[in-house]
Formats: sequence, structure tokens, C-alpha cells
Amino acid sequence: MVEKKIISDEQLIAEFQAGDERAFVELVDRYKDRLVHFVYRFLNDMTDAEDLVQETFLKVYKKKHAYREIAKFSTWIYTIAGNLARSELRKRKRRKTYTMSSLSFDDNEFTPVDTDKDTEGIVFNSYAGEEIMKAIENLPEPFKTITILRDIQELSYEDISTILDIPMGTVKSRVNRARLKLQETLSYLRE
Amino acid sequence: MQNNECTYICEQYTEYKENSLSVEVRSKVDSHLAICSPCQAVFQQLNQVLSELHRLNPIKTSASFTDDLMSKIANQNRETVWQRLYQSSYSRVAGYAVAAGLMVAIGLNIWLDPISLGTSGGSENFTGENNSSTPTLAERSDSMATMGGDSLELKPGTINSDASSLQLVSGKKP
Repeated sequence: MVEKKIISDEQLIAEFQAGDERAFVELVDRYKDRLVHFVYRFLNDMTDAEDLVQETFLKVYKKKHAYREIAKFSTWIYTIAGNLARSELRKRKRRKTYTMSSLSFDDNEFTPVDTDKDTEGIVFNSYAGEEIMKAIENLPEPFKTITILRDIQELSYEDISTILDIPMGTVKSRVNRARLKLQETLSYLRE
Repeated sequence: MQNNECTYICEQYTEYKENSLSVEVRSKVDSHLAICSPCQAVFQQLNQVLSELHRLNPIKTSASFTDDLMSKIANQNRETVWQRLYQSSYSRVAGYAVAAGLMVAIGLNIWLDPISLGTSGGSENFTGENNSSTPTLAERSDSMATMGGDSLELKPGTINSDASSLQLVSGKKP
């Protein structure tokens, strides 16, 4: 068990590619919480988030040979989860746009907040924590993703750049703009 | 933010915090912060937002997450075995061979004995010729007439070719 802890993700996926299913279970244990946390910030629904992360792992299981060690395993799996989450959001947006068409939203980046929130099992540190959550949910999509990856998941700029397929400079500027937007939104809490 | 200078300073926040600014820009930010209280306030608030973001409790997956996932995978593997079998070229070729064999067998059967498909007793043929080994309608009726029990009796002479009628009399033979 102690030996397992020092095995890198890349070694684990290589072992899994060679047929060792225990390596896959170890990867699931390493990433399940982080990915659900990541996806939950998009979907605001714990059940949907878990389903989507299960789908992510199923893809990893089925397409294990698609992984090549030119990228970190973490960026690969985050990319899969992020793509699935964005596709789910697009589906939801289409549904909501259809039902709320009379309200004529002009801002394409606006993502309606899911009113059927399932916050079961989630405990916030404070009221401010809840406000921060709401503020993140209401950020335009590119800023929300950046905030989740950088300020909640604490991934490196390089990893984020690979996951989102955008230049590092863009990542840095978006991180700063997202933080400023959050600060503006939350400034009333400090008044 | 007061003006363009303030906007520029606030845009440097992340790199300022991560010590990745050039010495020149960093000293510019420091000197601005020393005289601009609104920008100082923004920087302080940004620090607070970041520390609160980092303090957000991590979300935990449900206890059954891994078990659920592994049983989904097991189900998919089971399906995959059948799908593989179904989709494999070997089973497809075998299926085609069986189908072709059946078609040939049916075709040969029709070619060799086309009449048997259309007749059940084999006593008459399509040319209208009577097969000597098979009884005629009258003979068959006579043989029936000799049997005991309820029967249909065909009386000789009742076949009237002119009237094209056939009279059958029901009765019990002694």
C-alpha cells in the first residue's frame, strides 16, 4: 500500500493499459473527489456530477489505449470531464432557452442558475462560502472554468492551458479577470 | 477603481501575488498602492476572496461511487463479450454460411420435387391423369360405403355429367 502511494498517475495508467485493473481503481480513488468537485461547480447538482464523473471514468476505461504519455494523466482526465460537463451544460442551456424563450436572453455566455439544486452532503464553511458559490455559478462560462481549475482545484497554469487548449497568457489574464469579477460581486459582503 | 492607472494596477494582481512581475512593474504597483486606498482595498478584498475559495470544503463522492462504477463496467464488459461475439467476422461468416446452406437446400428441394410442395396426398397430379395406384373418387366412396358407422354413400348413377351435379346421401350401412 505504501508503495502504491509513490506510483505516479502516468505509471498507473501504464499498468492499467497492460491489464492491471487495480491500477484503474487506484486512479478512480485518486481522482473521483477532485473531478466531482470540478464538475459540480458547473452542474450544481451532486447526482448529475457523480453520473458525469462515472461517465468520465467509463471513457477512461474503454479508451485507455488512447492515452499517450505526451500529456499528464491529470490533464487528460480533466479534459474528458470538462468536455462532458460543457456538453451537458449546452444541453441544459438549449432546454432552458427553449422554455424561457419569451425572456429573450441576449448574453450568450449567461448560464441560467439551476433552481433544482441538490446540495445534499455539501457543507459550506460559512455564509460567505455560500455567497462565493453563488458568485462562481453566475460567472460567465470561461471565467467560471478558470476559477474552478485555478482557485478551487489549484491546477498549474500549464495544466489549465493544456486542458482548455488556450495559450498560457490567456489563462493568466482570465484568472485575473475572473478574480476581479468575483471581488466585485462579493464586495457588498464587506460593506 | 479610479482611472486607467488603477485598472492597470488591478490587472497585475495575480502576477503581483505570485511574484512573477518584472522588477519594474512590481515597483510601479507598489508605488501606486502606497498612494491609492481604493486599489489597496481591492487588493485586500482579492486576498480574502482567494483565501475563502481555498477554504471551500472539498466535495466528497458518495461511499458507493467506486462500487457503482465497477459494477457499471462489469455490466458493460458482459455486453461487450456478446457484442464482440455478434460482431466478430467469424460469427458473421458462420451466420452467412448457415443462411446460404438453408437457401440452397430449399432451392434444391423445389427444383427436384416441385409437385410435392403443392399436394398433400400425392394421389393426383396436375395433368389430370389418374394414378393407377390411387383410388378414384368413386372407388374411394365405395370403399367408404363398406365401412361401418356413419358414412357418406355415393349412389351409382347419381353422377350426372349433364347436370354436373353430385348427390351424396347420408346414411348408415347395415
